[in-house]
Amino acid sequence: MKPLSLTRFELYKLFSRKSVWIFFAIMVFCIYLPLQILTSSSGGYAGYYQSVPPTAQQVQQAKSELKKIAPKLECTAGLPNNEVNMLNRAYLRDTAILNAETGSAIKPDLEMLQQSINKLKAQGQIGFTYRADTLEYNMMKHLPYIGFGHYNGASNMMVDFFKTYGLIIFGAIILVGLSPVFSEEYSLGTDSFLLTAKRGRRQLVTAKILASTLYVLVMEGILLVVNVASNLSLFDIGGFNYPLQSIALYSAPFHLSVAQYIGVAVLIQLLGGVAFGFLIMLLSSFNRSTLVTFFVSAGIFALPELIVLMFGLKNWAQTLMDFSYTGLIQVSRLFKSFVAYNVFGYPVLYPILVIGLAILVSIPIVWLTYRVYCRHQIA
Amino acid sequence: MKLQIENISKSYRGKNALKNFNVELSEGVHALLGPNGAGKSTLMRIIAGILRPSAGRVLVDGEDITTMGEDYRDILGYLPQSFGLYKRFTAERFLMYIAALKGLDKSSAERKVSEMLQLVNLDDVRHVKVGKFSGGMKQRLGIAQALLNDPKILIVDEPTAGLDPKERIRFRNLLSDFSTNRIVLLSTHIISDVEFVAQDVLIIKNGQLVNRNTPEGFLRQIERKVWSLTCTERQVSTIQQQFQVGSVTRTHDGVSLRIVSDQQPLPNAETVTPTLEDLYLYYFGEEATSDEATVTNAV
Repeated sequence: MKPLSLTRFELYKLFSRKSVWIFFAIMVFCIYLPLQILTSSSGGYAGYYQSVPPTAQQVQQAKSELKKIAPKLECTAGLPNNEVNMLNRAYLRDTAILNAETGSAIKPDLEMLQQSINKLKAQGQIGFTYRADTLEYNMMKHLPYIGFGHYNGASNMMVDFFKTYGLIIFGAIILVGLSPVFSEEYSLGTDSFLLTAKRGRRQLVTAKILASTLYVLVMEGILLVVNVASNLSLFDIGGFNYPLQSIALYSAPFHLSVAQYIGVAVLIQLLGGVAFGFLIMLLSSFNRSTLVTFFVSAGIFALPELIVLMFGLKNWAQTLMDFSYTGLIQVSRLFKSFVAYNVFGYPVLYPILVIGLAILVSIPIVWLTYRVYCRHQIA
Repeated sequence: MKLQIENISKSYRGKNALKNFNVELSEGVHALLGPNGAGKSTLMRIIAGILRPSAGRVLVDGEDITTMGEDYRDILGYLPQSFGLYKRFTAERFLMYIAALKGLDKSSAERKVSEMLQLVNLDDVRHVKVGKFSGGMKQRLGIAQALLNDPKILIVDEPTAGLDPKERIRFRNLLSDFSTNRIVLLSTHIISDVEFVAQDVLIIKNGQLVNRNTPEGFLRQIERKVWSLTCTERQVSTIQQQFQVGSVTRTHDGVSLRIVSDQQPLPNAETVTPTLEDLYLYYFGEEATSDEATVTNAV
């Protein structure tokens, strides 16, 4: 007959921890929501994005409107606020339409890439740079029409959540929840029960890994609900079917709508969270003290961001962030522009490389966790 | 079944906790007697497989426990000297968790958990969180988890610490019933635990096996080595400095001293029937008199 599930009990240990829920409640209800409500109350107009090529009539209308609006905007003294706002909105809309008249926003980039490819080919240089430019050109060629303007509604706020509050809350909740996974067994003294039980070594580590993965999944799910519910209720609902390039990822070479990007971002953040969770578990298997595990893991999480803040645009600081757990969980970094790394002369897209590395690095981390815990002694 | 402890040594930072410890155990209750720091818990941890020896090995029916792995842990029950519990767990949930760790299926686990809770008298508080338990209740829960998988080899380190006399008797009876066809190794300071339960006593001192015998055998060894005499209050401190004095009792006639000595200590000393407390004093001398637990005779 099948033995009782260990994973169930490990899940109970994780989710019954009051500190996790108190911390989560404070972060969401005392910090994130009040700030988001403040943002929404001061925001107002969501902006305008021209998502399709404008018609001749639209262009004509925009031109004639601009002629009337521009002089009024030069001198707004004496005008009521709501009229000034309306003038500004009209100006943004008309400017976007007129910019869009010239064609897709990526047209100049495509032309530049084409020239570079042709030049490299003519010179017989068909190595990495040629291949990378060709890849970028092909990716951008398949993008939909990329318009002009900027839309700052719920869709943009939801995307923004992943790299700001989402990153911090998700990272912190994983730290708080998973730091004690092994450390607490050592410090409490329950390890003597575990290590002397038939399934208290390898099977227990497997159960803890499964439970921790489920924990990260559930937390990501809860955060997604918070993200969607808060932003849909506080901001203008729209923009989900606009291309990714309509929000702050203007140079992204990926053919994704904002809604699709949100789906992808959830998955990548989840993967990053699970990978980071594995690292925390390994550190926990070494340490008797949950606090030491927490602070070391928090250091690993926060350090890349701190280094970028201190050293700005230095290459090595950017590379460190690019290949950090923080960078992966932040997600937007992977999509903001075309970046390809040279792997044996062939371009490998940065998101694929970093996701692949996260998976590869996790394998020895998990193996080491098994080894460290199963060989743990009680002196 | 045979449990062989073969040339076990253990060093910590240059200090020898165990030195060439050799013993073979078969079914029955074996008591490990020794003062603090003698190496009892170290030996028990090695046998339980949670501490690797510096040298030597532990064999079950000729097979090394390190190669047996899960198969060994399947027949093992272990109660450590000090342990923690999950405060958020109820007693029932904790035992179900241990049952899961021990590989029991759901119906067996439910049955065994109920049985153990009744056995250790915690059935009434099965739904109470362990964080609210007293020290004695936690100890009983610890005993319950050690017996869940019906182990063939039971290692219990100071199992009656924190238990009241009634619970101690209950536990001794439990061990006695349990030890049929099983190997039980029990370490204790409490002499009455040894007296009523153990078939076999192993004396450990400075990490080495000093002697092994039945309780009756040991008592025969120290026959005519335990003395009683009466003296004045002024003489007490002088006598204590010269001889191993066990108990000091003040009576109408003076102060009655119980002394352990190979030779007659004073002309007026008379031999008395030895007890296991005297045995402890005989082997551990000053270590015993400075160890409060050794003069505790619980019942």
